[in-house]
Amino acid sequence: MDLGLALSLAGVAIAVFLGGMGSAWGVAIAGEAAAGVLTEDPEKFGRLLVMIALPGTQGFYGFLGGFYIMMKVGLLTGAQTVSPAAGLALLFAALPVGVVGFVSGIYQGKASAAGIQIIAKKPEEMGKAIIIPAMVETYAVIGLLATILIVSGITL
Amino acid sequence: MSLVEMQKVSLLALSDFKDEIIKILSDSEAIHITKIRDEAGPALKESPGQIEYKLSELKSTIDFLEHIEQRKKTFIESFVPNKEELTKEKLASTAQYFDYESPINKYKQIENKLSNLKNLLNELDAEYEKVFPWQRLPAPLQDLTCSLKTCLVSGIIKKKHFIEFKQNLNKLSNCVEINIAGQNKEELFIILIYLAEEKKPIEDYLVKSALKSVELPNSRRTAKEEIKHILKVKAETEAEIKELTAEAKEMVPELNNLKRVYDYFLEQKNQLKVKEQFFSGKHTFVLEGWIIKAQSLKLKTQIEKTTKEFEIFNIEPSAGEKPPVAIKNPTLASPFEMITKVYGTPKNEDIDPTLPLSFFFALFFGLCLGDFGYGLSLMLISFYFLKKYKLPQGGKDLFDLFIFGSAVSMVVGVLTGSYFGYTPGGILGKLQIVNPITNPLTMLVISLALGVIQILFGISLQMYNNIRKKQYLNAIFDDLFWMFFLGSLVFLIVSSALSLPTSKLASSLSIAGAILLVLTQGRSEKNIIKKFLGGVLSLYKVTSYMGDTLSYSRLLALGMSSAIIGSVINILAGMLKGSVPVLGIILMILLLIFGHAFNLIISTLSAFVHSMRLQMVEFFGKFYEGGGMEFKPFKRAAEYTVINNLKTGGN
Repeated sequence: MDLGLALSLAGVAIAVFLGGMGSAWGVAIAGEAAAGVLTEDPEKFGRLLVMIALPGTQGFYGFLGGFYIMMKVGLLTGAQTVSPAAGLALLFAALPVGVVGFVSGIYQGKASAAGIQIIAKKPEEMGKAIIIPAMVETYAVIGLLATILIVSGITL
Repeated sequence: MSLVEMQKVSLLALSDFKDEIIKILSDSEAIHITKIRDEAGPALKESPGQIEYKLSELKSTIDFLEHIEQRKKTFIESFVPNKEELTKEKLASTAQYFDYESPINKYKQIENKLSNLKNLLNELDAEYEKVFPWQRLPAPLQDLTCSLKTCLVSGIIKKKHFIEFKQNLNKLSNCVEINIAGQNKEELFIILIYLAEEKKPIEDYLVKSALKSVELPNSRRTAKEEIKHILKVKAETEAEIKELTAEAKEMVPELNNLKRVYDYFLEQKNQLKVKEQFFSGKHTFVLEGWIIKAQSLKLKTQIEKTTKEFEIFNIEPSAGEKPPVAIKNPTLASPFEMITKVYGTPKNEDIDPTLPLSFFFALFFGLCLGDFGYGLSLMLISFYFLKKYKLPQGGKDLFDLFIFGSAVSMVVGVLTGSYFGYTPGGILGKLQIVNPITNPLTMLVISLALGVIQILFGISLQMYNNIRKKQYLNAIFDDLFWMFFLGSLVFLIVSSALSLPTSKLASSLSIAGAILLVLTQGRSEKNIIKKFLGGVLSLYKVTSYMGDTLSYSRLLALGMSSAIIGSVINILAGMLKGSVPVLGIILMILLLIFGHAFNLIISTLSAFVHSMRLQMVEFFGKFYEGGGMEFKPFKRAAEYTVINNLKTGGN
C-alpha cells in the first residue's frame, strides 16, 4: 500500500468520525431534552423522535463523504495507485464535511432541544419546531457538497 | 390562489332560540365569532364552573382507567389518536342515560384507598431499611432503652472512624460497653451502654463524634421478628392493591361511555363560553362575526329550519378591524396549504402562496428523495395510511404531499438511473440521462438553475403584489429592474461559462441593469448624494441573491445522499451474500429490507424538511410575509369522539 492511498484513507476516517461524533453529540443533547418532556407526557414520543433524529444526518453526510473518497480511490472495487499529492488532496477534501459536520451536529442538537420545548408546550406548532434545527443543517449540507465537488475534481 | 372573501355579519334572534342557534352554528362551522365590544347586557346566569368541575372529574377518571387498562398504544397512535365515530343522537343519549356519577364515585373510592395503601407501602419500606441491620439483636426492640442506672444509645458509625471512637470513649470512662449488632461494607451498627451518672460527658462527646444515632421502633418484637412482621404486612398490602386494581379493571368497559360524556360536556362548555361573546338582552340576543360570503345564504336556510324570528345583517367592520383569513385552493393544491399555515396565514392584502409553492415543493421533494424505488415505496405507504387510518386534516395533507413528492421522485429516479440505489443497464439504463454520482456538476447546475427560476418567480410575484396595491414605482424599480439585472447576470455567467459569442451583449446588459438600480434604489433619500450612495449600496444585495441561489445546491447533495446510501446498502448486502452459505442470503435479505427502510425514513425526513425550508426562507423571503389572523369558525369541541352525521348540508 502506498502513501497516497494511506493519506486518502485518513481522509475517509476523518470524514466519518468527525461527522459521526457531531451527530452522536447532537442527538444526545436532543435526546436529553426529549427524555425530560417524556417523563411528563409519554404520548409525545413519536413527535419527539423526529426531533431527536434531526441532528443525526451529519453522521450520514460524514459517512457519505468518506464513501465518496473510497469510491474515488477504488478501495472496494480494486485500488488504484494514488499519488501522494492526490492522497493529501483527498485528505483535505474530507475536512469540510468532517469539521462542519462535527460542529453543526452539536449545535443542531441544541436547536433541536429548543424545538422540543416548543412541542412540549404547543404540539400543534411542530412544523416550526422542525424548521429551526433544519436551518443549522444547511451548513452541514454545504460542507458535504464542497467535499463531493472537491473529490470529483481531483485527478489521482 | 386568492383569499376567500369575508363578510362581517350580525345575527339578531330571540333569546328563546339561543341554544338552538348556537347548536346550528357549531354544526355548520361557518362563522368566526367576535366579541361585541360595548358590554351593556346583563351578566350570564349560567356559570361554566359546574361543567368545568364535572369535566375535571371525568378527565381524572378516564386517565385513571386508561392507566389501569394498560393498553399498549401503537407508534402511529402517538401521532393519530383513535377516536370513536358516532352519531350526534347517540352521543346525546349516552350523556343523558349513562350513569356517569357511579363510576366517578367508585373511582374516587378506589383511588383514595390506593393512595393510602401506596403510602403505607412506602412507610413499610422505610421501616424495613431501618430495622434490617439490627437482626442479630436477641432482645425485643422496646427493651433497648435507658434504665435507672444505665443509658443506651443505638447508632451507625463508619468503620474507619470506629477505632478512634472507641479509644475516645474509653478515655472518658472505663465503664462503657460497645456491642456490634451488625455491619455492612462500610458501616458498623452499634449499641452503646454507659452509666447514667456519666451521661453528661459522654453525651457531649457523642454529639461531636462520628456516630449517627438511630431511633429504633418501639416494638415488643425483636428486630428479626419485626422484619418478618413488616414483610407480612407488606404482602397483605400488595394483595389489597392487586384486589383494588382488579376491581378498577372491571370498570374499564365504562371507559367508552365516560369518554362520550366527557365530550358531551366539553361541547356544552364550548357553547356556554361562546355566549360570553354575545350581547344578550332580555328577549333577544345579538352576535357578531365573520362569515365566508358564499356561505351566508346557506347558514340562513339552516337556521330557518328552526325559527323564522331572526335576522342576519351585513355590517361594517369597526375601524381598524381586519377580517380573518381563509384560503381556498384547487383540490390538487390544497394539501400544500399545510406549508403555508406552518409559516403563517396570509395577511389580508397578501397573496396566498400555496399554489405557487405547491409545484416547487413537490419538485424539490422528488429531487431530494431522487430514487424510483424509494418514491414507489413512499407512495404505497402513503396510500396505505390514507386508506387504513382516519387521519386528521393535517395527517391527510402530509400523506397527500408525500404522494405528489414521491411521484416526482420516481421520475427523477428513472432519469438519474437510481432504483433502490441500484443502477441497471438495458432499457432502463437508456432512460438515464444524467448520473449524479459520477457527474455531480450537471446536477449542481440543474439545482442552481431551479433556484434561479424560483427566485425570479418570487420577485415577479412581489411585482404582481405591488401592482395590485397600485404601487407601480416599487413594481418597476424594485422588482422589474432587479429581475432584469439578475436575469442578465445569469445570462452573462452562462455565456462566459460556455464561451458563447453573446457574452459581450450579456455584460453590457448587466451593466445597464446595474446603472438602472444605482439610479433608482436610493430614491427614498432626499439628498442627491445619499440617493446615489443608496443606489450603489443596494447592489450589495446581489450577494444575498447569490447566497439564496447557492442554497438550492442542497437539492443535489440530498439527492446524492439518498442514492449513495442506497448503493452502499446494496454493496454491503452483496458482500454478505458470498460470506456464509445459506445464512448469507438470509442476512443479505434482512440487510436489504432494514437498510432501505431506514434510508427511506431518513431521506424522506430530510427531503421534507429541506424542501419546506427552501419555500419558507428562499422563496417566501421574496414576496410573502404571513402573520394574518386565521379564520377559525365556531365549531364543536371534542377530545375523544368524532361526529359522523355532522355534515348534513354543511359546507
